[in-house]
Amino acid sequence: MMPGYVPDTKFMLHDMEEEEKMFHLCHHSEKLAIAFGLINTAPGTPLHIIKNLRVCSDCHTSTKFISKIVGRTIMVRDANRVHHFQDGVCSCMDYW
Amino acid sequence: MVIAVRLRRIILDSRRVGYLMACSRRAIATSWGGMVGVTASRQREKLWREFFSDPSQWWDCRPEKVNVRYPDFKHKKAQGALWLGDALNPSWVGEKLAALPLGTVDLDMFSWNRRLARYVKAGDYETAIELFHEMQQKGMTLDRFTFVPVLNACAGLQALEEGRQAHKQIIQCGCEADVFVGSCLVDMYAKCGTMEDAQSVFNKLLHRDVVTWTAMILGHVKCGEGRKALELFRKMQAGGVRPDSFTFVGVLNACASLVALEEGRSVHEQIVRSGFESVTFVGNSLVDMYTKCGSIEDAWRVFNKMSSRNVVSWNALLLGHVKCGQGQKALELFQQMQEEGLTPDPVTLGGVLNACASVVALKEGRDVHEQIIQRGWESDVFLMKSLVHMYAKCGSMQDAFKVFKKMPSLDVVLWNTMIFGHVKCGQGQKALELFQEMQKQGVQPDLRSFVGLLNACANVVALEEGRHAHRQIIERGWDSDIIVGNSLIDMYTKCGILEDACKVFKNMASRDVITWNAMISGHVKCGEGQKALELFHQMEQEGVQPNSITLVGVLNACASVLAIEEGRSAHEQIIENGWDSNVFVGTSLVDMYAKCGSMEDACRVFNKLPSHDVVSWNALLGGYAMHGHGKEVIKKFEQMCEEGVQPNDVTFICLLSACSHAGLVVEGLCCYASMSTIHKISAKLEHYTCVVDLLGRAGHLQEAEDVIKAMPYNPNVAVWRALLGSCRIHGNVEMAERVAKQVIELEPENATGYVLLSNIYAAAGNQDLSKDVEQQRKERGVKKRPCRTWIEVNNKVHTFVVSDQEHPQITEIHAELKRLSGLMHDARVCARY
Repeated sequence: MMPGYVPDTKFMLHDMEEEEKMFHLCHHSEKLAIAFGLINTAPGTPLHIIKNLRVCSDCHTSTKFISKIVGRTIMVRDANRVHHFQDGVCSCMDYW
Repeated sequence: MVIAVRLRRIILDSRRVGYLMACSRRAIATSWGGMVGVTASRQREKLWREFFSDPSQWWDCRPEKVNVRYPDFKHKKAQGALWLGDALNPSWVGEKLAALPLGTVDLDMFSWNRRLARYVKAGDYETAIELFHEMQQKGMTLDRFTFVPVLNACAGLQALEEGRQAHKQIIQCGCEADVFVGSCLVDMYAKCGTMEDAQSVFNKLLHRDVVTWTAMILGHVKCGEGRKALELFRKMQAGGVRPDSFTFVGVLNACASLVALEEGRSVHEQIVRSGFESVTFVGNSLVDMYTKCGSIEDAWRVFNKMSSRNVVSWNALLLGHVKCGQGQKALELFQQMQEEGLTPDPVTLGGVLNACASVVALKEGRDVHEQIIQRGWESDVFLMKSLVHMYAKCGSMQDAFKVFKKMPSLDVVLWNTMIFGHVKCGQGQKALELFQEMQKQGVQPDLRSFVGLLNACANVVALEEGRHAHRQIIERGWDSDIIVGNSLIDMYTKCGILEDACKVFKNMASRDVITWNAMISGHVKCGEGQKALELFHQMEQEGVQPNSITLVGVLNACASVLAIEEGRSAHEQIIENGWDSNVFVGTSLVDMYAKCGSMEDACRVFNKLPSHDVVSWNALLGGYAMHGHGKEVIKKFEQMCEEGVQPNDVTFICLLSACSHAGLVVEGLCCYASMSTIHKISAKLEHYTCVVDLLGRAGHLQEAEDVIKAMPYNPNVAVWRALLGSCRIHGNVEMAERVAKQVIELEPENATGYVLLSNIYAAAGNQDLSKDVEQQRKERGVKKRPCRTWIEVNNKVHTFVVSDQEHPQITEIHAELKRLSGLMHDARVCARY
């Protein structure tokens, strides 16, 4: 059983209230892209995503969860390397 | 050459006449000798007395005497002739002759003409013309034997005015219609490049022989009027004049200049029929004609059939191969030629240098340079230019500059060679300086110089210089040139100014595949992969046929925006065109698939490549490294070494970063050690950065910092950033503070240092310090790079920025996120129980 997802707000550095941070976290560009990909492709289609910066730890955790929940392979290429999310696990083994 | 041969013939004829005359005189003298010896000696004495009483009435024939029977002195008007060695001479002759001041007796015409002819034959045209002037001053009667060498001298010097003066004299002497003199006149005017004058003399000639016609034909060839030459050839034959070997040489040159292979073949047949094929210089012209007409096979056939080959024959074949882009074959021929004992001439060496330049054979090029020095040909400007060109093409700019510096005069072509050479070697700054220096020395840059300048600006990202060059190009009206336009696009994209590149692109009157390639790869370089793909589609719509370089640009665009489906269709197009066996294209395919996340496809393409060079191996290893497949990278690296491919510094960057991503500390350090010990590659700063990252990520922070302190380079921002990233992973606040200070100092306008440090404080639970750092960043006006994400859905790439509200499907996206959030929450709840 995988551990549950708790939004990781440690690295959010904007001067704002916790709730507001939650809102922003939900709208990190890669999450928008993943949601867009999910609603526009047939179930089971792998998603391919690129980020111009490094993936943040919150997005990394939530993407792992999403891959498990929706049963899809999600590939994210960030500024540093490629992450393959599948069945709740990332190919980088959280070492990135 | 024709004329020289003819001249010799004339001289021999005239000598023969003199010889016959002398023989008959001797015969008369001996037949009378026995009977009237006393009378004869008295007569001889009388003649000598006459001679010494007024020597100016006599010709001195001694200097050019070739036959003992010919008299030493001849009376200018009467029949008298005197010989020095004559037994009947009175005893006092020698003494009196010695007392006679030099030059009292005028040299005879024959001697003058002989001297003239001799100077011309030796190529000393200036002295010949001086001699001619002297003859005129002395008021000597000039004849055809004077004019023929004089005209040849004028032709050799291309001294048109001198020639015209001689022509006036010829008209005065009534020699113009003489076939020998006429031919020489035609030849002189033709060699001086005034075909109208040649034509008018030609028209006036009553009788024209093969030499006259040949002079006209060669003249037209020289002026680049090959068609007219062939026309004359036909007319000449129609007039019943049989061509000689020189005529054929002219006609073959005409065919070569017109690239008229069929006409050349029919002339060849005629040559075979007339039996001139065995003449070496005709064979040489045939070889030359075939190579210039692009038929190397025919050239070889003629060459192999030639009974005697000289250096010119070899040169013709060698230069033919150079011209057809077969530099390697040309070098082999050079080798073979020397093995057969032939000494190369400057033309050979010039050709070999061009061959070396085309195949980048620096070693062979240096050998030729050696030979040039040994043979003392360093003053040959043509050879020196070829040397500069060869060194520049082979990327040895130091050697090129050494030769360049010694050149007595520098033309714009040489300057351009140097500018392009530096650009090619990536020494753009040096190229910019040379351009300035060229103008300072008063050499006007041409269109090519500006292309070189733009390339140099692109090379060193010198936008201001580039814009200045653009303005100068517009002033000179060269901006409509397609090569200039392409270079401008390249310059602007390399300087990151896509807007100006697009402006140039829009204003271009015509575009070729290179224009599109520059736009596509330029957009990829500027991070506009999506726009690059759109440009590619536009190019296809406009019906411009892409080439392999276009597809490489497209693959890079696909890789940059993760458009794997687009990449696959580009792959299909590559297979259709048969470019998949090209290592350069194949490597881009490997890279594209790797970056688009499909290592299976990358591997498949890699395995299908006919050969693997270090670059293609690096693409594969880099792919595995990016995916964090550390073990796989090490395995493939071993395979690479087994295949005998020598790794380079990039290979080790792939290896070290793979180990770093996979946490393979021991393996990584082993790789690092083997780099200098086994593979003899010295570590660059990038390698140290990888090692710092490798150690730091794995938690060996102190060791990582020690590496930075011990390395033989000044640490740059990348090294410190790698360590700072490791500090974040392992929460080392104390070290992070030190390292972040370095990062911010080296790159004050970049937010990374601030963000990382602030994150480290936040992670350590120190929200106040975290906020302080953020505050500091904002106060200094340092902005974070906006985070962007791209996703390819149904062959179209969509871009998202943080808190995107613009997207047409934003409501659905929010709903989906909300649904996912709920599902995640449930999962958390499930996990708790």
